[in-house]
Amino acid sequence: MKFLMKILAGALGGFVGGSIVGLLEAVVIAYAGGGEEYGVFRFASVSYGIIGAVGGAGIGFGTVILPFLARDSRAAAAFSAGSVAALLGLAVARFRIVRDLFAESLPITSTEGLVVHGALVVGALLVLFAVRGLLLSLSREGSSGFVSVALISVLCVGVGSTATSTLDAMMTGQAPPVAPGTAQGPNVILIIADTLRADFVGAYGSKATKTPAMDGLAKDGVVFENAFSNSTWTRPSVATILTSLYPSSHRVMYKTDLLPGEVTTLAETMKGAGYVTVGYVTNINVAPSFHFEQGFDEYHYLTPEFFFGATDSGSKLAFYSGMRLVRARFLAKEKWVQHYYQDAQTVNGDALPWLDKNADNPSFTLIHYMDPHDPYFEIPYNGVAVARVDTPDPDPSQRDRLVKLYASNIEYLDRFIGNLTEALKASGQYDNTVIALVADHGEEFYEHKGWWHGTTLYDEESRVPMVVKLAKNAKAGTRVTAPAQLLDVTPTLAAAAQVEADAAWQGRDLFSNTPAPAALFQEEDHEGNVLHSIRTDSWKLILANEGNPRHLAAVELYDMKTDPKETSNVADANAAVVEQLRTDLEALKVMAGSRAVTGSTGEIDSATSEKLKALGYAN
Amino acid sequence: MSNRNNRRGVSAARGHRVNTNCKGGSADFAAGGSNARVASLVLAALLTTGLAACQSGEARRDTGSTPERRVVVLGFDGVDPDFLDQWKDKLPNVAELMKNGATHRLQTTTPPSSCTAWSSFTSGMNPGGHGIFDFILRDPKTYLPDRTGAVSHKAEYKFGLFQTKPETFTTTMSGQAFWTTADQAGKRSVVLRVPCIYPLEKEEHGYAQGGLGLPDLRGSEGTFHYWSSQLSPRDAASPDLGGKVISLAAGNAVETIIEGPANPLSETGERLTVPLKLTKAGKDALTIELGERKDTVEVGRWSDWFHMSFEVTSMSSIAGMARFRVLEVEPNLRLYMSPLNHDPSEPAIAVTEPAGYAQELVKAVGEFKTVGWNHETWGLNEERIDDEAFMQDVWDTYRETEAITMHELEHRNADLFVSVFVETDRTSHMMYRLMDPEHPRYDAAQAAKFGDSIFKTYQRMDEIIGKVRAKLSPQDVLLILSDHGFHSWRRGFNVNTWLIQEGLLTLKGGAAFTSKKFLQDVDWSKTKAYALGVGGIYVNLKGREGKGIVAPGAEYDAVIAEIGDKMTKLLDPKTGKSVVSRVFVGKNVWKGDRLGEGQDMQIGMVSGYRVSSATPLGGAPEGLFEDNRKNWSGDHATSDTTVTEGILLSSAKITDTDPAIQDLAPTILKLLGVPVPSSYDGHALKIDAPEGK
Repeated sequence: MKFLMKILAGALGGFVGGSIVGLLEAVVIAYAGGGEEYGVFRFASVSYGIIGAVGGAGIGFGTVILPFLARDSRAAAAFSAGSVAALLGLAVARFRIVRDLFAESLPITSTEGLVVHGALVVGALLVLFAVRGLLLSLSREGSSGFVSVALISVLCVGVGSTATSTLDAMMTGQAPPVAPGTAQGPNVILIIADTLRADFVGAYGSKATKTPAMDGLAKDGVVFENAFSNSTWTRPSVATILTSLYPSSHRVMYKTDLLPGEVTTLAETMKGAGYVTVGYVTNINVAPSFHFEQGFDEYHYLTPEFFFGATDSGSKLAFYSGMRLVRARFLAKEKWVQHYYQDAQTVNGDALPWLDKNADNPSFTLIHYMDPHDPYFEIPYNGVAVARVDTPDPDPSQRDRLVKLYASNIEYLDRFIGNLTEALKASGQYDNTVIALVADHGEEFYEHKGWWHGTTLYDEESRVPMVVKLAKNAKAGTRVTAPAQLLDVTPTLAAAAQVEADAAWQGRDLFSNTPAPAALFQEEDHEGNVLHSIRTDSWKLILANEGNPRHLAAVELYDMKTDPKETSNVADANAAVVEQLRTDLEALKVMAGSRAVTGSTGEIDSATSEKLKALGYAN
Repeated sequence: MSNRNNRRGVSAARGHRVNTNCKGGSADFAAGGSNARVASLVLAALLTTGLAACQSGEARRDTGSTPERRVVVLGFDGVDPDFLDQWKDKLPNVAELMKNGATHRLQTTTPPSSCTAWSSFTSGMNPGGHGIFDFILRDPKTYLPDRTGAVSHKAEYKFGLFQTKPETFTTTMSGQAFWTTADQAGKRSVVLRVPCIYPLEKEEHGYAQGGLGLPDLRGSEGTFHYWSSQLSPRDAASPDLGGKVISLAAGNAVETIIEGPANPLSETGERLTVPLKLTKAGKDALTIELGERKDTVEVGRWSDWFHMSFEVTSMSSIAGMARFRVLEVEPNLRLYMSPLNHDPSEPAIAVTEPAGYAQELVKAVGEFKTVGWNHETWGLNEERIDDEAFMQDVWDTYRETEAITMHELEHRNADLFVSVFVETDRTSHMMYRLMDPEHPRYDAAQAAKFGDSIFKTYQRMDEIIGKVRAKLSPQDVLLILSDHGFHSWRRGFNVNTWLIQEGLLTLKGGAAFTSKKFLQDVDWSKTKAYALGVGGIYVNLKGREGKGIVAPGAEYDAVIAEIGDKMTKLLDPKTGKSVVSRVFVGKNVWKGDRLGEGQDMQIGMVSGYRVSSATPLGGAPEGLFEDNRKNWSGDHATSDTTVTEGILLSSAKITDTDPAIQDLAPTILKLLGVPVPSSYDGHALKIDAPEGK
């Protein structure tokens, strides 16, 4: 009996310990900002409490075996609360410190690593004793401790719930109605297909994957055969698409980076020119919590359905992905698309009625489909899929199956792009609409002994489709071989809509006489891989940081004329070329790094003017 | 960092990527980009109080051991070798160094401009490496000018209540300061007011005070306030072109405002204000009420510091301080206020490194100016204050910086000590007219009173050198340098107007000149070159400039050759003499990663000339030449580099014959026994230093 009491006390205490850690992390998430709701408090107080309770039951059992840890159930509850708070807190703090402060690279053997981990352990011990002491002081000696610990549990959940409802109430406020647009130019629709490799599109020569809708758009529009992303994961890439700034210019490169307010997005430019702007997205990386809504009159982030009743903010908890993993591994083997993102059909379900209703309103619409992105689902959806989250490193023997699944997901997306173009035709808008189709990056299928994306700058991860259908189908069927970059999307679309260019843009209008740059520049600083590349007609040089987790060589040079698949590194045999390209690359880095978000608009503002005047040399 | 030579801005903005050890602690996070990092710190602090122990490492510990050898560097901005030679008999400490140590002319940079030269001093690189080619840079796409150096990044707030990230800065300068290199090698340093290095880098063992580049509360080099109950027609026409000008109501007691920093929460850059109440106290005094403080200030003297707090939110404010000078009470009330300094006791931005160093200094020597350009040059140039007010302020500031210098030299154990004084430069800029009878603003009566002002700043320099030497041990090395020399500025040259005349620049409608600034009227489709910045000329290059027309290669070279050829033959009709002795071509005088950002050409003028005051901001007024009628009467920034050298004095013999300013960084590191980075363009001078003990 005493044995069961102690386990139960442990579980109750663990709930308190977990709940406290959850509330603290919720504070951090709320403080970091960007969210539109604060469900995280309620969710964290309960979910971390439950995790704590499970652990706490184990600790309670421990006190049965090692009675000196806690003599009675009251002591067991306090000890369990302290231990859970310490261990869970340690895990959460370590996760966030390593991710947010050290960009995921903090070797435990380095000085910093030792100091941080030492401090964490000391901190955890202090937490253990502090929480244990607190619970002991709150319960009467001699009592079972159940009542007071249960009350504290309720209190924790109560605090979480109250915080959620109070803060959510503060957030509510009706958006003002959107004024009708006044622009004279054609409507513009920018379609971003997440993770869509160029060579899986019919218009780019794919035979195996059937993409009639995208090919139809290509036939009515202009195909840029050599289009590249400037980075290979979503957040920096889409930021580049929307700002025409290199990643180190807009400075959205790390997982924690938000799109800065100083940049001018395409949506802001279009809105300024009298367009109504609307966005439909379903990738967390471009959610309003990362400030990608800038300039949109309406910005719809179609959230996935979260597990366990979490909300968007709750999904940012350190243990949320862990819970997801546990669920995927042990609780529910089935994978359903809506738990990851909303599929193209759902996106269209929201976007098409809007487009129809606003047929006569000059509009700029961003539609960002997620479907090619992993998990690779079996179509029709049947609960079977391969996901990076639980299969980070698939066996190479799986390659053909993964490629087939990926292709089928692209074909699925193509159907709904078809629906979109059909709907536009049906409502008579198609002809007078500029439609661009691009991807934010590609995907690797073991070409360089790896998978997924965001890990290299090789072509499979960075060569993207880029199709621009102009109003009245001008230049239909043209195929352009000159290199294009995602950097060029914003200037090109603005020009196609007769909207004036912003002086800060680093890209070019692809239909203007501005010649293509002599070299393309890509950069990546993601999960410890710090990569830079420069590509000319003949060569591609890739520099990687030392000790990068992807194990890329520090210097790679590829002869793109004879070796377009980048299989043979010829850096050693071409030292002079490497030197020359390295010099050029350094110059590009400086250029991108320095063309920071100055946002000049052709006028000197009064603050700059005062700055210049206050300089004695100029007055 | 993978690339040390990258712009410091990049590394500074990525605080968490900079070799963060325990000590880097909270300050690094504050410099980082996003709230998430700060938020994580909050979590870390909540969950691991152990970090608190770690953060105690934030306070530098002087190990207490006296260094083997100290390298002490005193900078005196703008000290001219010819003046020094002329006055050496009256400068005993300088004369002593000349006799028993070393004295050299110090080759400066092209252009011989403070930030360009000090950046070479700091980084050991030529301008092509550090990227500071001028005070002004232009965006080639828009042709618009902006300042080089420190770039501000707004403070961030949460719920319109709490500040989550203070205002931070990055810089357009590349390269690492030599004291940071020494710091990484474990050397302790004190670095005071070196110009143009703001923002201050994190140091493990070092202390630093910000200098030129550290802005005032309004984000400028130093904007004064001027109130008057009787604004002149000129004031009324363009009230904001000369400081912040505010009209006062008539009456014995008037209420007005001080207009401070831009509200960080405002999108439109609206400024925060505090109320100010002025009450006449007789004919020659004014009672100033500001916040809690109420004080009566007499006409003709500087008040002491008034403190004020600009409230951003109910939880967060920006603290400033300023001095008043009552110019007149009757019949017209006229009041002047110095630029708004960040209060060193509670600065909203980092004014020292570590941040807490500022408070230590306040405790030790009292309050001090924090704004980098810490003299009233603008007020005097706009004739808001007179020579006396300007020079009184010079002496006050000299005292303040001397006090900090001597206190730190005596009380802090450091292997490397650097302190820069700028009074020599500021006084030379403003008072040259009173020692040059040929200057259009020479005035014999005023010269009798203030003609020796520049000389007096040299005398004070000499005294400081003497005091510092008295504190040194025999094995210590003392180096004294200036960044450039000085010339009178009697005539201004309208470079853009000349380019129009030569057919190289075309205004819309074919006008010969314009009253507009910022190159606003230029027809870019017919323009081959334009002048912007202090003596810079740019080719309107295709592919680089937004509307470039000159093809790279032969055509580009031809434009450069044509300008160089014609300009060096140009004569001032008033004197019949040539005005430009050389036109430096950027790619010939600089090298390095940043070369492409610099001006294509830099004008080198003969003594007596500078580009006109309209030229730096892209003006093209009527006439090629104009008399300089401003108080800003001495200059150097567009002078011929080869005749605008600075000085180098040393307590130990230097055997090199032609030292240059970028040689100082490697020389100092070598004296400290720290390996010299390969990125340096300068080389270590052969110096006959005494053995360490």
